[in-house]
Amino acid sequence: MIELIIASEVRFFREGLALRLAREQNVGAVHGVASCAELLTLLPRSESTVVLVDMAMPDSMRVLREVHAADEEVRVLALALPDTAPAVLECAEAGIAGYVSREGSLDDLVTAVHCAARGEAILRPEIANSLLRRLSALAKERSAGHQTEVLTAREREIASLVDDGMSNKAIAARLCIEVATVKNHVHNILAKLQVRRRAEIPRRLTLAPSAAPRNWDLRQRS
Amino acid sequence: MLPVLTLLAADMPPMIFDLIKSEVEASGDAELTAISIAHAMPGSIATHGVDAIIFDAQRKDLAAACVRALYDHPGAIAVVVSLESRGARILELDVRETVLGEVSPAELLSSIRARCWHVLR
Repeated sequence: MIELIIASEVRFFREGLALRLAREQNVGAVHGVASCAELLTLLPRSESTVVLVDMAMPDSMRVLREVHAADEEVRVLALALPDTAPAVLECAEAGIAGYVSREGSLDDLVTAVHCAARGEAILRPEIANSLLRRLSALAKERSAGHQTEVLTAREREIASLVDDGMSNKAIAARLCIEVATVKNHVHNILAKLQVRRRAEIPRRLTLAPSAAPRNWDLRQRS
Repeated sequence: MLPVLTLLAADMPPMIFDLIKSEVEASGDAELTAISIAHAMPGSIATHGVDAIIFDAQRKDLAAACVRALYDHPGAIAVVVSLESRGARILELDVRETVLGEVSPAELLSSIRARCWHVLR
């Protein structure tokens, strides 16, 4: 049995949807809340399996994240979402199980609720394609992140100075070490990052978001 | 048996239309038809008589559409639903009668003048 919470500031939606969804055969209790705060208060006390969040509410994006973080078993549907890839991707990253666009009908919403409860989602082909491309990009970022993780602290420091456009000689002077030592480090960095030229190091580093602040910190210290 | 209300929903967003339709079907005393008033209203609707025409407040030509609907159907009311401002309102043509009794031409004109000036102010 599906238990639902509908979070919308708009009474017309909140009560209209509650009445309509309560008529569905496998839908049990349907709760309506008028604010994100009310939703977050009610959620731990209810047995809700599906939560509908009106994206017109202030703080709705934060609430998506908080509901997902509080209970990953709860399926969250974003309501009245613009049917564009950036909007859907942002909500997907926040943990939604599905969405109904602004142009969606009541039947679309009922279908989305049942799909979410079954652990399924209905997506337009264009949106599905954007999700796949985003997943691929994230995998690349993660891969680049792992590569920078294997750099030693000294190598990361030198990579950061290469990123600043400094020559081996300048780096040696800055770090008070031999030019040959810098060359060795650069050679190792190129090998670990799997790039051929030092000019490619900055691009590799920027692909790894976790590496960027660390490099920036190193520059501040040097 | 209650008289059946004839409601028209003019170019409403699907979700709002569906929610009103759902309520209409549950009540059983009204019938709701979706129309587009970008063009002339269908003759069948015009001859049946309309009780209310429902509009979405988001439409750009809202004022013109309401005026046109009310003049095409003087007995009807226009209902404007605005989800953004979380409200709805009703517009109608208001015919008022003021009994003047037995009047002279001068009094008739005076009454007309007083009423028109009142309206103009």
